[in-house]
Amino acid sequence: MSLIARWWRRLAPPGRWATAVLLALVALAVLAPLIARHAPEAQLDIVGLKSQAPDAAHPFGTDRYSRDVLSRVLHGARVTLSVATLAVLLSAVVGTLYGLAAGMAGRAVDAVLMRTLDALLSIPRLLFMIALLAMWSPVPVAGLVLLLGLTGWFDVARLVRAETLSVRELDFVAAARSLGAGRLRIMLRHVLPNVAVPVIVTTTLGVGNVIALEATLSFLGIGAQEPNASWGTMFHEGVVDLSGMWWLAFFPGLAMVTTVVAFNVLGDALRGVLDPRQLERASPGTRSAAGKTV
Amino acid sequence: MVHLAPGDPFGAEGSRLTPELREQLRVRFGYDRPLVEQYGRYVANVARGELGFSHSLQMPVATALATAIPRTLLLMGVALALSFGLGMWLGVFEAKRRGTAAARATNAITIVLYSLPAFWLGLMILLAFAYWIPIFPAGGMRDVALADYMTPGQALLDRVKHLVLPVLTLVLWTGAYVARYQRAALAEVLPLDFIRTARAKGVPAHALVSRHALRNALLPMITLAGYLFPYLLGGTVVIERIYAWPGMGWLVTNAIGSRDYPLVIAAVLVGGIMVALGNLLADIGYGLADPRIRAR
Amino acid sequence: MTATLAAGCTDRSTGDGGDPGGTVIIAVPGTFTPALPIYSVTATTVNITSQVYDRLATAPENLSSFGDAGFEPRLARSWTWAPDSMSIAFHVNPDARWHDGRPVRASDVKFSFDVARDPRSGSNIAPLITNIDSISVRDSLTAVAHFKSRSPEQFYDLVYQLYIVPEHVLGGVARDQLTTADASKLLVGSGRFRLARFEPGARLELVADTANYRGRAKLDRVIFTVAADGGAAVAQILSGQADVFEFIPPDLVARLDSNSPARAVPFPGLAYAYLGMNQRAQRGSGPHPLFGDRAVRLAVSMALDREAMLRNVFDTLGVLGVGPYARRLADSAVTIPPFDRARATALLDSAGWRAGPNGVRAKGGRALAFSVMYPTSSKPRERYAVLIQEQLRSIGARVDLTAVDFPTFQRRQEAGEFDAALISANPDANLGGARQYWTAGGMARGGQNFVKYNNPRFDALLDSAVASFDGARRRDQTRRAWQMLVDDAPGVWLYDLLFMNAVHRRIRTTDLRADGWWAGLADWTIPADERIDRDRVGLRPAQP
Repeated sequence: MSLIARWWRRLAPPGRWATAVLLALVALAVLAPLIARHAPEAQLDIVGLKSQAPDAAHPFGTDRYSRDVLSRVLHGARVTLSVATLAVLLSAVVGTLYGLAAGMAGRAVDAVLMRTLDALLSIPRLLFMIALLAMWSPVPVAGLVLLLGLTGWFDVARLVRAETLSVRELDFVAAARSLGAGRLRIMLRHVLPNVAVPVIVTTTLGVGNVIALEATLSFLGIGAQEPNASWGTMFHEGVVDLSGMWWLAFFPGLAMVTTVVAFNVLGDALRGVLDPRQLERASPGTRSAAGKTV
Repeated sequence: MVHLAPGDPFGAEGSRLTPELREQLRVRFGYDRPLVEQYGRYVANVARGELGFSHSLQMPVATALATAIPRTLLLMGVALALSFGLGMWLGVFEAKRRGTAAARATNAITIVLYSLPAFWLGLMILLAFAYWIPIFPAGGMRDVALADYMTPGQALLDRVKHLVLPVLTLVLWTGAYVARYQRAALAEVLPLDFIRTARAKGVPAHALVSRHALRNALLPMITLAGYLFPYLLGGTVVIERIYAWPGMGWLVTNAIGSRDYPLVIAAVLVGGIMVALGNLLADIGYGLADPRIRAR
Repeated sequence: MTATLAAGCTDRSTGDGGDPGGTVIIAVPGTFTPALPIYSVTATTVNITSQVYDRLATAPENLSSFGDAGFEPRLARSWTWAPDSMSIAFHVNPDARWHDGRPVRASDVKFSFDVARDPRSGSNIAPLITNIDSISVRDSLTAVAHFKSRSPEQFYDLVYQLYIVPEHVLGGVARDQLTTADASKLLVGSGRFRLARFEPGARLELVADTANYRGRAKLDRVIFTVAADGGAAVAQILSGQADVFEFIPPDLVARLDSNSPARAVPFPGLAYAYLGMNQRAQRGSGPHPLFGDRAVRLAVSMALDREAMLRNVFDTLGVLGVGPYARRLADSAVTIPPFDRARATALLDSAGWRAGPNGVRAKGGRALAFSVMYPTSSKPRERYAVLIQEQLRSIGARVDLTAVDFPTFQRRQEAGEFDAALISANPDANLGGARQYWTAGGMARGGQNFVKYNNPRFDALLDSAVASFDGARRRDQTRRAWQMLVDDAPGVWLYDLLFMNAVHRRIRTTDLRADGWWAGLADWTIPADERIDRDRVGLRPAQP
């Protein structure tokens, strides 16, 4: 608890605003079924209430099937946020495990693992996901989370590996081992606390990326599907009507941009909370992993 | 991987193919052989440069890609150069004017631009400048009717007009990324000791940035070029879709709809190779630029 | 003399264009590839085919398929019936030339038929020309078609389906290789336009055949250009970059006001769309567990507010479906199930479908749940699917939507791999075409009876109507057959595909035909004083 209090004090004002915005968004998403006036898929009056511009009864307007856009944006928040956070958590876990393995392994295995990582990094993420998802269409939400998570762990892996390598060399580690402590336990006890904060920063910044990526995939029609429409799915349906019905793209877009900006601002601010020297463990001559998630 | 998808590629032709004919095509293209053999054949073919036949475009895959790739490279190349320029300038600007309102505003703008998905930005720009205020063409690469009948001067102007909106989208989107990276790089260098020494000696702020800090912050930028490739390629694919730019992204998104597997795989392969080449070039560039490595 | 005869018959331009000239650009949403006539299926390829190739004769405007009345000469400048009507001799126009200069011969006619019929070529018109036994060559300009039986539609069957292709170009290609051959290199025809250039994924250019036997086209060139999708195509129209866009969506028709460079031109079609309910189980050969029961089909038909859905999807521009045919061909005496939700629920109740805990009905352990399949290529059908899903929820049915790309939709449609599907039918005007859709014969490969509607009494009535040379009897039998079919409710008749084209204001079109708005493209004109840059290019070759 005191750790969080310490962080809050060191968090720059933009970061505090961003946190507030995100908490509000999460609250809205969680409470959506209670706050939303209509079910997201309810077609209220397909002749009379079709494609209404925003007014008192429907603050965000209605779409071509006479569905209330505000209700859909609220429910869409649940899908977008849950997909993004779950995917990013999955990335964090996989990346940590991989990084630990690489850091703890012998030279040869480490080299192989890192070369593989480099190779994987060179695959263009969007293209790859398009190819996979187009064949798996329509994809269940779990599948989407899985794919998003399994393609975004590379930076975390690098961070964790760097930290693992440096911890390995410390004297007390050798001492502890000679006393019979298991290697894995040592690494976990010493690596994880050190690496937690950079991983959290990377992860926070990653959420924004994943939201944008999921929105792009849904826009192309191969991401989240009805009835679990995310904000991106709303674009897929609304893009044809864009010139005439601006509210169909504006409100989901606003929601999306607000969320992603909030995550990015928070990520930036979190970085400022840390001792900057803790971030960069790699020697100055090598590539900085943190740069990728900027 | 492609065999996991429902439907074989010739099933997609539907009523056009009688069952006898479909059987013939399957044998001819080898889809009746065991998976392992097909994979082996494919790899061997790729090594020889034979990428298969695209049945949705009715031409060899290599031919289709050969015409499409240069167009994607044109778009990416122009966007890369301009976004680097814009991004670096923005990053330096923010660093020089640290703490001022201008820097904060620029920072806010870059964060917003960086947070927008490429497709949304592309849609908004297309809406704004091709639909609502129609000053630029609504997609395509060149004028549909007159392109071949223009003088070289007119043709150049026509090409540029068609390039403006997709490039603008990509530059804003990628430039923000570069700006943030540049800013972070500078932020790492500026607190360092040698800068503090220079400041103590009385070097003015703007010179600190451009003369002392920038040179050191440049190295990571070369690294960035390597990371930028897959990022930019992903953005270009979506932008090509929105603007009907007939490059690789356009081919791929259409090929997926028609289940044209050879084309999809080949395009993803080529994308991967392009990115790997980009990384390689970045590595070489880094090696050349870093005096410490050179001295070794 | 032949030239003036032909010119007199085909000149329907509503305005004198003066000198021939002009470029018409047709925007196509999505990529396309030209195809040989025996493989032309999509609207764009059929359009291209009809410009580049000719038939022996062309059907009359009213699309009557009865005998040869009203048919006008094309490649055949005249024809002679044998006294027993079992064969017809077609006299090929001696002025007709292929685009490479070689003359058109009767042997080309025979070749075209042989290729279309050969199972190795896999042509999609093979099942439509089964009544023709063979075509023989009497002399270099006379081809004789031999029929297996007399029928009122025998002339139509042959002449309407068969485009004539050159033997000297296609003869060298092995029949089973035709489907994968590069059509853009083989597109040599006798039509008033010839293929100038094809850039895959970008555009296809047709240019006027100046030495054509029917007189040169009044336009210089026609360019088909690829747009990203419907929205981009519309943008090209609104900005004047493109001249024609077919099937402009209803919401965008309003934008074609007096300020826009294009106007909306409606034209009739024969296509209609319906929600087909598969009467056969997807796996195995038994009846469908839900739709095998007529009560369920009727309940679904009566639960859908077709009028409201039409208003939602098409605004004021929709034409409500009245049965398995376009409204203009409908018989008003045939009545279809009305919209009546109370009756629908009563039907389900009495058929044993009890409401379940989550609002979904069930009977014998099986839930009233099914999927509705639609192609992603059709926006109206996508919209109908979403509306139908919600409407059927009110009678206790749970509907899942299956969106597939068009090729997959076609494949599954044919293979019967669906519960319900939003099918669009585009039959020929003749009754024989209806056989393809609703009789037992239509269930075979190449047929269009995807829901496997099987009613022998319907088949029999239709057969005797088709064979009947007595007009009144024919009408009566047809009416009884259709009423029988709609009472069985194999589908819900949703809407007629009303086509609205966007056409640039400077273009003077001919009257648009129901079987193809493009039929008169070669006679469209652009008045000299309204021409713009691209019209003045002329016929000079490109310098790319």
